[in-house]
Amino acid sequence: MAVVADSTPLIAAASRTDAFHQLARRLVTAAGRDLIVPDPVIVEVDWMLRDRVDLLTARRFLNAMATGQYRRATLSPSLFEAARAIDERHADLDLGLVDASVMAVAEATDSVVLTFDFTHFRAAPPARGRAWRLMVDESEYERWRGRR
Amino acid sequence: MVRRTISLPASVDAKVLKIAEEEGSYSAAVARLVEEGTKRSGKVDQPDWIGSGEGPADLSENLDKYIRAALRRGGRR
Repeated sequence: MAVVADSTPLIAAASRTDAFHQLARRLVTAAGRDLIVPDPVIVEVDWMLRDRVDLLTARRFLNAMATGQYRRATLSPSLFEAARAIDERHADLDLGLVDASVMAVAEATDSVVLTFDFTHFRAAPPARGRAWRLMVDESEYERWRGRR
Repeated sequence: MVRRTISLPASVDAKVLKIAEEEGSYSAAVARLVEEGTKRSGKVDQPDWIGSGEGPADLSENLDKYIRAALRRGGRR
């Protein structure tokens, strides 16, 4: 089953000192080539890895994206419009393009979502259906805090 | 294919033999079980970007905070 990735698990997977690294590493590895990463997520992860981790890690991450280890989702005009509409529909949450693009791609591909941003994804459910199908939920997430 | 000589506890050998009876080959059963086990543990075939660097322990948890801080100081974005 396809899994659309948000930035937080990818950053946690890249940084071995992140409190949720072990959980993220297992989830990303388990998803493997079923992982879909929207382009806005790639930009955010690359940017944050360069800013707070290191250049080599950012380049390795980009290389993984460029060499087809995961599936990139480029925002077509219709997906971009869907993301914009999601952001507008939940204007009070200030989602932004990254979260909204994950939601738009998940909706379009009927995929599971891999995120650690439970606040936004719980507060902004899909237009159809009651909630996003999450690869990991809050209780499982908390169990992995700081695990080495 | 490579050839290895390994020692297994008798209890493990019995389990593999049972699976091998169903699947037709002891080596194939061991290979499949190891593949499945390593995939579940996530300890091999790890892409090089995973665990490649070291950042703040709360980076993924407080991503929005780090983004705002970077924007305030005129970071890359």
